[in-house]
Formats: sequence, structure tokens, C-alpha cells
Amino acid sequence: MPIRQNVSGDCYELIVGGRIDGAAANEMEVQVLNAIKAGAKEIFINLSEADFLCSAGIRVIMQYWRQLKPQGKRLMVTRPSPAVDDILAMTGFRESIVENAGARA
Amino acid sequence: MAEKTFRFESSDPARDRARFFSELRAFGESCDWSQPISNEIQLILEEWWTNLVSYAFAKSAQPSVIVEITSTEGEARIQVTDNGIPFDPAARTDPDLHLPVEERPIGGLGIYMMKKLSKSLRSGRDGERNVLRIAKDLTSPVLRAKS
Repeated sequence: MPIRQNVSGDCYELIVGGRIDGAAANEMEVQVLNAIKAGAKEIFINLSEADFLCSAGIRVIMQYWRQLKPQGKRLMVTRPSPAVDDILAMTGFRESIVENAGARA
Repeated sequence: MAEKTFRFESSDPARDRARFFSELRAFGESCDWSQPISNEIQLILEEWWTNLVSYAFAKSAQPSVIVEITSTEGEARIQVTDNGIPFDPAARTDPDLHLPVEERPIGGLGIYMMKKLSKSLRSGRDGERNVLRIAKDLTSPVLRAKS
């Protein structure tokens, strides 16, 4: 599934759906890098349409979450599908990288 | 449901990745796996396939992977054998989930996810081959399904 993008000023939303396997994780990283190069200060990765998220996808999210934070910028996951929400909870990342993690999907 | 079996053999797992998962999904459909169960089995084997391609065969000139699945009414038994470097995922220590994101190591997540999504996961050696045996409960997914 192609990654869709919404841009509002320096805020980027990437909508990543379907099976986020290794290949999709690579494509997601390309899109995140493009957004960073374009000057994004906030990147939201919308996973509402994702069937699953493999560990390579989590690594991409974790890597750029870490990279942007010291620069006063941020990358967050929004609206994870229930399965992806469970994966993020299972791996201990949910509370840190999901926007409004208190509201369970 | 009658017992059904699946077998996939590859001498180039990087090249055969897409074909493997396409055939796996078709097998799941033939067994009437629910979509959430099919997704979880794909995710388990996605993690293992990545491990094989990225690490097990990094220096191997003649890779060999054989995936065999037996699907019954309530359980799928999955066996993957490979001739890559010796590796025992069942013995691997789980990551510390309580560390802050800033301090979390990058590695180890995939194996941990495989364990959590499986009913059981055992690994060992048979001669020169790694053997991974996974049991997957087909009656109830581990992850919540899309509403």
C-alpha cells in the first residue's frame, strides 16, 4: 500500500497502511527522511490502516523519534489500529511514541 | 478441518521473499485462517525471514531454507530449517521493556515478538542445520483485530 502524505506548514502526516513488513518499513524511512529534509518539525505516522507492524518498522520509528527529540522536533505515531496498538504495547513503546497513548484504540 | 500441509524451499531467501509470503497467504486462505491469525503468522515468519536474510546467511554462498507448516483444526505447527550460522532464538534474553526509549537497544525485538505471538517456540540444531519449531494457536489471535 503506498504511503499517503498530508502536509500543513512544517507538520507532516504520513499514513502508512497494510502490512508494514521490512519493505514497507524501508519505504516509511524514505518518507520520514524526505519530510526531515523538507524541514518538518513534527512528523505524525498515522497507523490507523496498518494490519501489522514488524520490528523493522518499530526501529524506524524509534530511530527518528530519538533523532528529532534533541532538536526540539518530534515524531509520533497516531491512531494505531488495534493490532498495531497491541504490538506497541507488547514491545513497551506505546506510552512513549503514541500520541495520546492514554486513549486506547 | 482436514490437516493441510505447506512446504516452501529456497536457496535464495532474499530473492524469494515476496513469493514465499504470497504462497503463505494463499495457504492460509485454503485453511480458512482468520485474517488476524494469518497476519500474526506472517508477522512471525517476517521476523524470522529478516533474521535469515540479514544475519544467518550474511557470509553464506549456498543458503538453504525449508519452511513446513501443518495446519489442523486448532493449531498450526511451523518448522523452519536453515543451514545458516548457528543461532538459538529460544535461548535469547528478552529485551528490557522498562528502559526509556532513548536507552533501548535496537536488536532483539523481532525474536521477542515472535515468542509473544506464538503458543510455543523451540529451537535447536539438527546436524548442520538450525531448526525452529513454532506452534500457533489458530482459535484466538494474540492481537486485537480491526473493529
